[in-house]
Amino acid sequence: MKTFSFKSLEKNYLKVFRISSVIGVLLISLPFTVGSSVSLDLTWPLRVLVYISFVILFYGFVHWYSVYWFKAYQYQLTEAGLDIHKGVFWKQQNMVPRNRVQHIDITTGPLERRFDLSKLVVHTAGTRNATITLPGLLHVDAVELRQELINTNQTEDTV
Amino acid sequence: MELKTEGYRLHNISPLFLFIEAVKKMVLPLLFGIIGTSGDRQDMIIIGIAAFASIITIVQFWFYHYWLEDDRLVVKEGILFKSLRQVPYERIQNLNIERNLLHKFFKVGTLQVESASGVKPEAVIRVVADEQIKHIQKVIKDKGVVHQQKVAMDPGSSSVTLEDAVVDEPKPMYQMSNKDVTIYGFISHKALVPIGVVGSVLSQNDFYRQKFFNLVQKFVGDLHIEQWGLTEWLIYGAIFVFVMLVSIWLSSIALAFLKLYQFKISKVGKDLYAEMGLLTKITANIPIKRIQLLKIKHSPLHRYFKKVSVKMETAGGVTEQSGITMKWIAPLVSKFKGQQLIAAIQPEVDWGKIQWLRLEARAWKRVFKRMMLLILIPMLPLVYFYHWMGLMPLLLSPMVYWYAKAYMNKSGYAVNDQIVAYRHGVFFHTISIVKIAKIQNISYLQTPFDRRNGMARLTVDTAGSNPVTQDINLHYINQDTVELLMNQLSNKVSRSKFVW
Repeated sequence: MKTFSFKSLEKNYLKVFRISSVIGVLLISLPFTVGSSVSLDLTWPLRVLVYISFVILFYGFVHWYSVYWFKAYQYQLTEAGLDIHKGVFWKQQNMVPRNRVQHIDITTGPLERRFDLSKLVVHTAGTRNATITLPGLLHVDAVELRQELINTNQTEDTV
Repeated sequence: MELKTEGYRLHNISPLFLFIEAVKKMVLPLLFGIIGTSGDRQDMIIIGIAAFASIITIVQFWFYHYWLEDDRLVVKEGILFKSLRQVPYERIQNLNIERNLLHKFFKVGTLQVESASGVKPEAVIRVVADEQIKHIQKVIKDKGVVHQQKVAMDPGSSSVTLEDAVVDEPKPMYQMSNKDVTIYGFISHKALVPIGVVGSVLSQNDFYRQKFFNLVQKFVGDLHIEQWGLTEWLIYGAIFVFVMLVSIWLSSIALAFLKLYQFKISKVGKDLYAEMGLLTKITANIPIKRIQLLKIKHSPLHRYFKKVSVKMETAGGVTEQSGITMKWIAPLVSKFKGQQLIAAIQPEVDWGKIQWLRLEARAWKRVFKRMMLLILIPMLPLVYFYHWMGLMPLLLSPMVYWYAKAYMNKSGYAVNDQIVAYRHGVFFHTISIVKIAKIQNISYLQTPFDRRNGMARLTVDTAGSNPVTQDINLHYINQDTVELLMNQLSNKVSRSKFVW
């Protein structure tokens, strides 16, 4: 039975996280720009400038936040099972015992594929926390972790 | 494995029941919508389409086959989109049977098979003859048991007793008298919501509201509302409230009788067998090992009658909308008898060993602050409009103080080698108990407020748990304790095997 103590996600996943947050930042900046343009009665060039500064402002926040987010996101494999720690303000730890794993998916998005990363989705028979995801693994590592979790999972009826 | 292609068909009277079910699901909601709204021509067209669609559903009768293999139930259905469903007997969670007056008249019943998956029942066989139901029940029971024994390689124990038990009427471990049903109906106030919904829908519609006023005026004479003074308002208001309360009580009791009349639950071998209902009779079979969570609840009214309700959760998320549900162990029972029931159902748990631990005593301040926030925020506009008079809600603070202290006193948790239990609630108290072996995963949560107070929260997830109310949710516990608990629990869970 393989075990390892706390590991961080792949460094590249921080990039993936930041790139995918850009879309959100672009969208969120829109209402702020419209609001301030209307209330301050700005001209077009100024509006564009305001938009860009909002984007920079919000992205700056995301960039700063993502450092801590990445630092907090850690996982370990113990004899009992897979243990995932995450969260900056709202801290969260999820523990999936090895023998409660029902099945495991590996998904890869287009952006993740560029960095050869994958996301591990562990399904249990629970209801509220039935699926627990672990992103930012190298594809080979994800496959290995899946194999390890499935191998040690006794073939028993867990319901 | 080779599968037969032809099996049992549904009973000849099935189209009638299929039609009724379709009408219930499609036409009635639409009709209700029309009463609430305008009743234009386009609504009539929609109803027409729905009625037509309901007739179409009858056709599925000719395309519905099911049969019993050695180890599984197979259901084949569908006209254009065919489906073949195989449910291994030992995976069947619940076996429920529904019989209303119409069913009884034709000597048939609706059979519902539930496995652990999904919101919808695995198979609903609508409808089959009574003898056939008995046959299916027996096959599922015997074969499920035999198969399990094969898997466990334990030929020592025999299934003879089980077979006898199916035939004989077992001695119930709990049954409800008519008095119990009446009290339960009164306590539950089940009719409150339906009456409220109907009332609000009708009052939205000018036509019906006018009709209602005319009816009242015809009955008690002209009221001259425009001339009322404060006393009249108070008197008539009190009368109205009283009449509403009484009608809610009466209809709640009537509802309780419809549902729970002659409620009976008994332990047959390794299963629970329950039956209940006045017009629509429901019988349910629940394998005891499939019970995920046990709950003991009581409200202030429960306490007045010195009673509690005992419920269970089984895996599979069938709700009242999607099928027949059976969640009761005892709708109304004395506290002592309730504990006895639970002990009889799960004798392997040492119920005497449970030691309740308190939440952190200092957390009362957090409950106090949270409740005060609920008062202070609505108070802001009051202060703005009424100045110092708006500060009146502050008089509630002693109550809030009492509530916060009571919250801490009533809450508690217990963890040992066999179970995790949590209890909470000042007015509506719930004790939830999960066996370690039924835990699927464990989570630790810490909000910024928790961190400031060095506390955290521990939740566990089970297969049958309700996604809305988190039953095992240990809050206001020291961070270190939670981390320790989490480690202990995960080790216990990963070591717990399913030997029943």
